[in-house]
Amino acid sequence: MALVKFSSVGLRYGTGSEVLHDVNFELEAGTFHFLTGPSGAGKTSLMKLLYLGQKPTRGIISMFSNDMSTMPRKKTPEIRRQIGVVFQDFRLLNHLSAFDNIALPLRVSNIPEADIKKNVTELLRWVGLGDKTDSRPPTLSGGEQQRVAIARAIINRPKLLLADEPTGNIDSDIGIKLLSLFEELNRHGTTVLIATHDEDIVRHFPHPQMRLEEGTFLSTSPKTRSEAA
Amino acid sequence: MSRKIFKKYGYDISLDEGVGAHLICWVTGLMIFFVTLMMAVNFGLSSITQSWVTGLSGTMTVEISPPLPSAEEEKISHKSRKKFNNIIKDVLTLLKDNVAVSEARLLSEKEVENLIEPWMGQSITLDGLPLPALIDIKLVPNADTKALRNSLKTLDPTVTLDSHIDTLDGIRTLVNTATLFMMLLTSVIIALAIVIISGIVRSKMLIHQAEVETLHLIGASDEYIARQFRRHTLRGTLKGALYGLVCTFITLFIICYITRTVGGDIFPRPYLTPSQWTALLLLPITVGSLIAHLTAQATVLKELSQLP
Repeated sequence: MALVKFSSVGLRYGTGSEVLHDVNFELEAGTFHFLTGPSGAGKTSLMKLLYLGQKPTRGIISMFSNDMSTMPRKKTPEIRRQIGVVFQDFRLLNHLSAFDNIALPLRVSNIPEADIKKNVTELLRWVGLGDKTDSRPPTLSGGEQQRVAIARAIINRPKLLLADEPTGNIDSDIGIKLLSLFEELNRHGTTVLIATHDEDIVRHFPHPQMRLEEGTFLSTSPKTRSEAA
Repeated sequence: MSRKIFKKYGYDISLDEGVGAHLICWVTGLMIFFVTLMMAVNFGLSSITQSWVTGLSGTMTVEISPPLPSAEEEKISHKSRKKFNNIIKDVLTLLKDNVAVSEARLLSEKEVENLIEPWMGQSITLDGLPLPALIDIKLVPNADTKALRNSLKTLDPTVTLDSHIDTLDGIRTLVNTATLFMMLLTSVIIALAIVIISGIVRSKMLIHQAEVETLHLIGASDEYIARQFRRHTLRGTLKGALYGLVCTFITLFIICYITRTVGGDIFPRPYLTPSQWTALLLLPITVGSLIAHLTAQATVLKELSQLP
């Protein structure tokens, strides 16, 4: 069953021309995909639609079997909590510690503080930041900030993990380690979609690609992991 | 422990930082200052009116006009003085025999002078001035004042009966007008406060737009985000209210001091009941907090509704 389904989706900002047009695809649960394409192809716009940061101007988006066009606004936070996002600019809250940044998705879900402490501490150790619990983002290196952003994206055990250019600001060795981390999450059942223009990374990991060019897909529907294998 | 405190009292959005972080405190402080001051003045005016009304109701004053010297005379003639004294005696007799009157007392010359002195000043000597004779009377309940007035007029046309109705009506009209004006001013201040608080909250949402969007995108409900702004606004309001109240009480103290030294003989001293003091302490804070709270909530929810 498709976790995400886009049908004839189009997006335009204001009165400009469409940045995405006739986008059709399905993401099966447990798959790992790369979203590739040149700069300006619409990758970030597509990611925005996926993490519900933008509404399409036309077409239908279905997330976790819910038609988003008819879903009441009150219910969208519940859907968002099932999506983990690693933003290109991380979007960490600078006045909060690494711990509190990672704890945010749990706090907005009203998880008891004792559980938050246990889970966040464990995850901080897992991403190698066990000694940076109280550090604020401005005092962390780029790589450390990225790991905090990843930890925040996965702390809720999301069904879908989206990462927008996660290797953009780091060298290729760390990029490969990061992708290995995403693969591990994928093995635990999380559906992963990574937007990147880093051809080396894409070559290194044998996962299906969804190629966007000029706002639409050139390739056919993406394959599932089993098909790719 | 520190995290528990953060969770309980802190914000995910850095609302205590940046431009205008404490603006709400000052705005609500000013609002509370003016509203509390107006309430206090209103209560004070009411107490003055009340003391006048209580003092004057059920009483009347009989005034017997003094004889005036004729154009040729410098002083009042002995004959005129005698006639004046006789009228006073006759009036007192009439009053004592009248069923409508329970008590009648002729005010001494010194008392009449004391009544006039605040209006004339101490520097002007009252010797030789033709002063009227005043008789304070207390009436029985439901007394027929019309019959009494007619009896006095029949006795001597220079005798008048002052029922104080005109004075009381004048005071009431003045106080009612002042109350209405203060209520209007309070409404304007509240409306202004709502507009200003709404503007501040909107500005803060713009300043912290990135943080608000991040919270929104990781699944925070509108209520979760609004709660942070509400709590921040409420905290600022309570702090401002405290400042406002302190300033109000200092101002009231100064006003009381001035009214005691100036015009203390003309106006009765304003008196506030314990319930009025309680209202002064609690009402502006409660209403102010509620207004700030609801304004912040409505503004944030309206702004958030524009997010996808």
